[in-house]
Amino acid sequence: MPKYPGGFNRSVVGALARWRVGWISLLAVAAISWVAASDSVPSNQEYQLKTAYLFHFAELAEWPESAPVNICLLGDSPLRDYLPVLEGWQIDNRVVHVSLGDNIDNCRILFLSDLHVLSKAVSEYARIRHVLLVSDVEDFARRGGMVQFTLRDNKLKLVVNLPAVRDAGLKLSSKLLRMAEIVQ
Amino acid sequence: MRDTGDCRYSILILCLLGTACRPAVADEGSDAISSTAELLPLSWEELTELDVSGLARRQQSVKDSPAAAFVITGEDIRRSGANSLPDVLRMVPGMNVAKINASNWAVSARGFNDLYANKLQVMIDGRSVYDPLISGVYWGQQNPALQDIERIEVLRGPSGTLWGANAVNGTVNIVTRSARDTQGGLLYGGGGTEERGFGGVRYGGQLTDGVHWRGTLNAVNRDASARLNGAGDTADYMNAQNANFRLDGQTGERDQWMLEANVARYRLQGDYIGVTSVDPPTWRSDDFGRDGVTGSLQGDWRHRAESGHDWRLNMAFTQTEWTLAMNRMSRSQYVLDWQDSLPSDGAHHWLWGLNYQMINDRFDNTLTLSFLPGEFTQHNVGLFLQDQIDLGEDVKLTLANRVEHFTYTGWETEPNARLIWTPDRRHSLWAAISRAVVLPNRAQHSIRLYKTIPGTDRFFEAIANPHMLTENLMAYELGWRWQATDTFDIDTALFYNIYDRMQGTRFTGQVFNDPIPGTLEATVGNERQVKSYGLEVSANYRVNHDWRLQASYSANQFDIEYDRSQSWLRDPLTEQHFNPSHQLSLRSLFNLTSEIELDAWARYVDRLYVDQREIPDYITLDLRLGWHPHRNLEFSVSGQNLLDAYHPEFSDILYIQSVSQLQRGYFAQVSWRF
Repeated sequence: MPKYPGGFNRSVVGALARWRVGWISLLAVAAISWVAASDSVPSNQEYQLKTAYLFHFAELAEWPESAPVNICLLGDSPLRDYLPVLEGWQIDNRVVHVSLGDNIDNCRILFLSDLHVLSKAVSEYARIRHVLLVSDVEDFARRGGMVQFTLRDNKLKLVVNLPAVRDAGLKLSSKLLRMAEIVQ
Repeated sequence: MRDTGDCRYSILILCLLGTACRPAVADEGSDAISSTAELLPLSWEELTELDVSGLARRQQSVKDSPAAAFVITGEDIRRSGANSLPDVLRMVPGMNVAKINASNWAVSARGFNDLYANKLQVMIDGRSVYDPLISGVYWGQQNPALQDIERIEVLRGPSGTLWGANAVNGTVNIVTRSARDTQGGLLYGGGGTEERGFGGVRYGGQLTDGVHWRGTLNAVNRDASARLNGAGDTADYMNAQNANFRLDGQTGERDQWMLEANVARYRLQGDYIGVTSVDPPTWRSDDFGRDGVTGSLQGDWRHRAESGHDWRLNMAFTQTEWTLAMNRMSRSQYVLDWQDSLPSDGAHHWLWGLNYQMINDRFDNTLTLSFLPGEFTQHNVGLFLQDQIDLGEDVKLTLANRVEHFTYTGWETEPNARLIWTPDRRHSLWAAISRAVVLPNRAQHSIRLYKTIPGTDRFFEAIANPHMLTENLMAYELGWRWQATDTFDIDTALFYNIYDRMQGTRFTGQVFNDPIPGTLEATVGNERQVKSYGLEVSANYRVNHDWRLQASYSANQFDIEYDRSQSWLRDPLTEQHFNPSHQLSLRSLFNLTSEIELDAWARYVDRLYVDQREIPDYITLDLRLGWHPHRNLEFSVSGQNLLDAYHPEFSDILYIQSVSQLQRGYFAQVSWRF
């Protein structure tokens, strides 16, 4: 048989006191009341993230010759409001410029708002002038685009058309490809 | 489709803590990281981990929570070069991690570290893995594939209101990747001098529309550690195998569920305690290792009602069977957890929940170690209620309480109040007062341990105390987070803790002549009061996209009151002596090119005094070189504890006869996704 020393005996008073503390604090939580207004709008940073991704593409893609990093936008996308933030930032000691007009000369990265902007002419231009074509429309990569944003599990993912990227004389780092879905 | 099953625990933690469950305020400027410019300094790895919707964004969530929180990402784990869960936890400020031998660790937060550290709640996907026998974690039994871990959320300080008894000095929630996030195959393996061999295979697929599955098999094999004099080893080899299967489903817009099954087998060897015979008294220091199997089945279901209620049901069943040379245990645990988050009512955000836990165990007793009664069932029931109140645009108050009934100690209450003030987007200040309790465990309640008094040839019999009360903590905390620039942030926490009715084991003065003449009686009781205070700082500096530095520092002091006229079995100044006063960790994550990574991790740990022996302070360095020749292939070589051939980190000669030293180790690893 175990030999139990005196130990501590819990008194009835102690048990009651513990009960009381519990209920008083529960009641205190319930009793406190304040009035303040607050709107419940879930914040969404989809386009902030896309902008940051585009910024990183300048580093994760390799162009045949070095040139200033010009990031362009063609068509009407909410990205128009966010992209200008990149103007003047540096990546790999190269200054980033943003162009939102129709003039897509000297673009290194071109974001297309829509599939119909991905014309034969734009594809051909991108292939010859080594432009990375990016979009967030469905099927962009399958239809000859290069890098497509897609949403999965509340995270931004990439779909990459590797042959199109290679045709344009571009190389994407394995770091980028590691998290991308590849279409051939 | 917003978050997968495993996101929900972070949401839950943060909901319970307060502000994070509240959608971020739409005003761009007030959200420290949502504006585009603040995303730009992040590395590619950090960026790709971010959630699109602000609701589940842990980076923001951690920044907004009125508690000392730290998140280890999957990327942090990969680049740490660590191969075990406790080693990964070393990067958290305020965590105490000390390896005792190849399969035993002492892991705690804010001090109180020991092989039987009993103030930390540890969960894997919400299922508690702390052992109710010792209220601690047998870390050698927890060997999940680290590649399956999405992140580890660590809360220092009490969160008993959220997680019940034993979430006293901290809570560690290990969140594994959902089946949806682990589609396709992964094959990895490696080996080296200390991590002799490890490897695993994972495959995931889609069952039907919205239902994904994945299965993982993995194994580890660790080499023994060095003896104190460096000559030879302590034969504490270990090997373990794990099988994990997980299903994640999304049924309609409003229901999400997860089912997970896990089986772990472990064989931990070493020189543990053992008395083989009483006549004549024979002491044998031999391999009294542990051989065990733990299986668990858990389910989680979350439903968003049209009324705006958000409820969650979590169930887990765990069966543990292990054999020591002198003992055998079989235990079943059932846990049921339900909670309901009410629709927001103006400034109030209510949350309440119920939990039930049943633990049934059975021991085959022997002379060395026995538990009386040999079979026992506990039923623990709890109810909690929380209100998070918007006191203004930038001040939020959280009031909460949990009332719990335990088989051993009856009713307990664990209230807390937390206040957070965010004067601008760069700063947030928080303060908290909480009460938390540590339950007496099965061992304290019913153990009979019979062995020699360390350092003597006399025997003692440690006898349990069925009248043990809970250890109670009153904690006072202050915190400050400062986003100094876009690339530099610093997080500071201060705490002052008063622990009442702390356990202590003393000799009662009784001498038995049965079974061996002159055996002294020792018993555990609520004998001491301990006060502790400390400081924790962590800082992050993103030098550029390719280089990130992370530093953490913690200081911890103790003030202990005990009866000096008594004779104590263990050091009554345990806390003061077992815990380093200062700890420092410095990590550097550097991309040499976009395919090659060079990572370094240096740590300083102040000296300890354990088992009448000084464990000197030490500095260690780990290095890792990783190479991705192809997007689906990774090679890496790692070196651990590079600065010395071996050093001790802790000791527990009451249970483990030989003091072990950690050796310098190297290993190589390859992983391939398909």
